[in-house]
Amino acid sequence: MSKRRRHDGEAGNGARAAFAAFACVVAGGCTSLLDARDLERAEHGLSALAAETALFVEQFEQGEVSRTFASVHCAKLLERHHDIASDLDDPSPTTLDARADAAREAAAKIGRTLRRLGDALARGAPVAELRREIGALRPASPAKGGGPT
Amino acid sequence: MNIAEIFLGVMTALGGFVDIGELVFTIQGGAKFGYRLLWVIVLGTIGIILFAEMSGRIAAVLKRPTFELIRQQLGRRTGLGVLIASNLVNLLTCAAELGGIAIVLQLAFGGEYRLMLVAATGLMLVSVWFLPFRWIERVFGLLGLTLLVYAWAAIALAPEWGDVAKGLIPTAPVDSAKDGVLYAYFAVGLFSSILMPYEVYFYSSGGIEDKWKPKDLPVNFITSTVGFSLGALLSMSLVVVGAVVFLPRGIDPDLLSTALLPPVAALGYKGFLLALLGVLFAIAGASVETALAGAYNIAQFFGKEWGKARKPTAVPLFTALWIAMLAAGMLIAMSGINPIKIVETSVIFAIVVLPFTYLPILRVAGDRKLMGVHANNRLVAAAGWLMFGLIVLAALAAVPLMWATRMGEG
Repeated sequence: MSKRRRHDGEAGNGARAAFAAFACVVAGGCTSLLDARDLERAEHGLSALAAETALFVEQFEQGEVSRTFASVHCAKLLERHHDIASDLDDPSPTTLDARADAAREAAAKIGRTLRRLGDALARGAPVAELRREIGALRPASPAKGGGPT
Repeated sequence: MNIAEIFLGVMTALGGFVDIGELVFTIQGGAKFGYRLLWVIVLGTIGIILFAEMSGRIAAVLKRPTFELIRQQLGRRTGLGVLIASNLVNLLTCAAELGGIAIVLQLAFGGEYRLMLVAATGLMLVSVWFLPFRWIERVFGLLGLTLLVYAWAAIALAPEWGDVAKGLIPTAPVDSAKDGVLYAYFAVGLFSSILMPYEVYFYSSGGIEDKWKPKDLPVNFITSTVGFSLGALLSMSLVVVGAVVFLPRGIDPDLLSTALLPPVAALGYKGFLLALLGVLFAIAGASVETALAGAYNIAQFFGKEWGKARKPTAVPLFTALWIAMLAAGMLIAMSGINPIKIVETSVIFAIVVLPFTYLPILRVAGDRKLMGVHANNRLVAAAGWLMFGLIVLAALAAVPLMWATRMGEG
């Protein structure tokens, strides 16, 4: 069972655990080893998370979203980060070790920055300094860019 | 025909077209595949127009609600299975909508999610209890029009309209087989999210509540065709904003709060406020519709007294049922599961059940002995059966695609 699903179960809530078990069976993600597909998904998730953080912090700095929104959204991104980081806790096969370590390192950096961002937003402190760090967070990812077609 | 009534009906249909499921699948579809899923919206809209128009016509001519027909057409035992499955999907959808309202309230006012969930459920209970049926329909439908901010944002973001138009022609991504499977999952999910049957249960029961007669058939026709077609344009704008704002940045919009960012990118703070209000009213309306649809289905299947137009105490079972739907929905959402994941599950299972609710309507609407001159003409019958074939295909593919893509995670 992947760490994300284990985390859901440990929340001690029956319904949540039942849903997690259902999702685990349907999604076919009940393996204990971090395979290439899981790793790719985690890398993509981290890259998307960093990109989204950069976008909404920029919108916040320009006064386009409220501080309450930014604060709650940041907390939700942190929850998503926790899910992705938990998946990366699974042991990886030696062929994927280097990539998995890089992803874990990126996850740790993103997590730290999101926590600092959450604290700054809660205290009403400026986030300009954090914005520069966030810009540099995005890890190498197989995620596609480019314009829509 | 009362023009003001028709206009209000069309606007209500437009404002109530998008719910949390559609919001999620359309924006995610745009973020993952650009404009390549736009044709699915056209197909799904033709499906919902056919389904709703036939159900409304049956309500006006025969005054018989959907689940009474399902029991008669499929038999009591099969019909009961369809009722249970349909109401489980309704319940999951209701839970996702309530969870969505709680998140929007949290984004607007801060506070704790579960507290907001209780507040959201309380607000919905009070609204349904005190507002007359027509007011429920109109208030949430018309306030849901604030969601048009996404259409405004889509225009303001100035996409390449030629590329957008190309999305109306079915094309699959050719990058890899994995992309193809993910594309198929989103195509089925988007198709299903537009065809969510609770909208039709609510619509046809509403026709009976409003005491539609055959002379009201033009209202039914215009409301379903024009209202839902305009709704389709709104859905397309969701795909466009997902494609323009999220795809180039590689963002996965799998949080409700993320779905609010494109109007902000296009319109700034006013986009933020309007998106917050639009999403709130759209999903609040859908939560009420799912709760009432669940109550309608059970009462109609078992031949019990029902009707929101009647005093709550005059229809005690019906009243208890919609209250129970809201309460159970709240408990599911209380578990803390991401409402987006709940709604993805309900959307996929909705298409699995749909053939069993669509077929009885198609058969009755085409039966000249029952419907007389109001039975389906050849064009509607042909389109109806073709759509049934597509629905069956989508129903067969839905769960395997859900499994193969790990619920769309790739």
